Amino acid sequence: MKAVQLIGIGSPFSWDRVAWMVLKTIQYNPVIKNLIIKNKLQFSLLDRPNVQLLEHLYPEKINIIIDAVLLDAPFGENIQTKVDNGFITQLQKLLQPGYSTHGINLADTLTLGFTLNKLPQKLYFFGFNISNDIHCIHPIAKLHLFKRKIIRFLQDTI
Amino acid sequence: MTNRKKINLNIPLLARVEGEGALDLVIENQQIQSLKLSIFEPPRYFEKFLEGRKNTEILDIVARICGICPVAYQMTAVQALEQILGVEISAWVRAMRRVFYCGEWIQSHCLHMHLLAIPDFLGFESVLQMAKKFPEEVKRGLALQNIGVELISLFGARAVHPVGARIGGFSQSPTLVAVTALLEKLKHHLPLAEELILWTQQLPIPTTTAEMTMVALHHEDEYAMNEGAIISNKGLKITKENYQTYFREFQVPYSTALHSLLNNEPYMVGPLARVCLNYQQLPLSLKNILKKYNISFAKPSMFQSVLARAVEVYFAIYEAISLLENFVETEVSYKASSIKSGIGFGATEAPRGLLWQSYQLNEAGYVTKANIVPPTSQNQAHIEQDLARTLTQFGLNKTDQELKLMSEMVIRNYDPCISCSTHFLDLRVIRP
Repeated sequence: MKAVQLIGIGSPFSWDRVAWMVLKTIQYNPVIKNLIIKNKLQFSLLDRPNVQLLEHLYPEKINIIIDAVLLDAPFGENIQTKVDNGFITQLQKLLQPGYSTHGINLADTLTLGFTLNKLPQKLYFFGFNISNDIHCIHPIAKLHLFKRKIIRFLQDTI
Repeated sequence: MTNRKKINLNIPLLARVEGEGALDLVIENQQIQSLKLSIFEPPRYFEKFLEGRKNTEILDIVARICGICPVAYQMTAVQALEQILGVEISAWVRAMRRVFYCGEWIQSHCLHMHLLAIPDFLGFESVLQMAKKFPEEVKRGLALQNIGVELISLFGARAVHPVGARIGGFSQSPTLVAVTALLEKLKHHLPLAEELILWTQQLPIPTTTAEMTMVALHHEDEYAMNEGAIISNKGLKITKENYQTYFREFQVPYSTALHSLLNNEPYMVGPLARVCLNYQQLPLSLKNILKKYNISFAKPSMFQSVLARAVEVYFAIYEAISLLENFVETEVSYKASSIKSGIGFGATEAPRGLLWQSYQLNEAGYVTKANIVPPTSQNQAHIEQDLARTLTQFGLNKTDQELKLMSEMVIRNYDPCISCSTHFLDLRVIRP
């Protein structure tokens, strides 16, 4: 059984705090609780880590990044994918400019990690769309579905 | 090359700086007629937010001014508040605050050097391109930056907007186990910092010549960081309490950022000013390294700022090692204080330069007035002066694109943190 690291990134404000909301509540799920007890699951919450994200990835673990994304799609639409070169290129196109520190966004950070050969083999990305929130009647229900998706993935992966 | 008589150059958005701004440049008959660095981000009103807040809330609020240098804002504010409250900090707190600050210098300098400034000197658009050609150097930069982040987290509980600092000291002492582990890492990283100095020294850095007024804190016994007199290379030596007598802040119509002058002249703060003014206070081992690599700051050029940052990365790691080697875990990590009214002042060296603050507390311990003068706004007038000088030396007959790139390099060289002071660049050049 391979250990997993869940990495939530973003600020603790507004909907950018999606990863905080997920990681702070997901640990009460029985499946997750069990994994924590067995020392198979570790959480990290990183407030706008920029390129420092690369220092938090462990090659010997399954690393899962959870972040809010801005898509031209309904609130709560999500992305679930293995991080590879193709995905990074796709992510670069998806991420809107202006929401990054010093012009370095998540896609740039992952591109840098790929160039420097610092990305773990097992790296996954879960993105939750936070745009169009005013048109969403049940945002918390959408978030709940997102959490379930992550739990299911963990059950299947570990 | 262009022979147009009047050139109007506009940089609409400057990349690789924090925040937003623009540069308007009018060149007529090969002379700069007008140069305006306009900061158009709205003011953030932090000084007003602080009014009516209890003194114990201030450190957590000012940490929010900047995600890159929150420690600087906290350390300056705490100095002012402790002056009002009459708190005499212990030797342990003084030393650990210095280590905390070292962490911020390391992480901020490494971020600026590798992600923002050095790609310019090597002709890359960004660190992403630079990493393909210089992967080991970028990895080293990230590793050094990370050691700074770990130092901040050791005392602040987290690197971004840390929460560990409080009036009188820290909420709690780090454990001996955590300090011992980090100390080993710091020792491992010190040779990497020496490599960084050597690499930076070998960069093709443009040479500019100019007489500059440089301002920094100065302490007789140590490389000034958290306390000292405010001095300049033109003979100024004043206490933090007298800052407003000599320095004048004013509004320019084209920018939301305040400009600041010393005796009605622009001046520069930051790592280059510090290294030049406090060279004697650098540790002997570092001075020997600089001698070995033939590095001198005797006739400083503006673009040597990047080299000064490398020097300070080494210094900060060296200093953190020296201070943590004598670390003792304590249960008395702060000194309690009682409420007092009055006015207090703080001056420390943020990574980008001198940061000055003053607070006024009422009898209930609430802030009635706050004044924050960040390094970027102090550098603002000097950046304009430096741009005019450097672009003239560079050649005003260069193409708009060449002028734009040089302008961006000059501005980035100051590592302006526009979102702290205000914000940053958009170049508009008029050449009719």
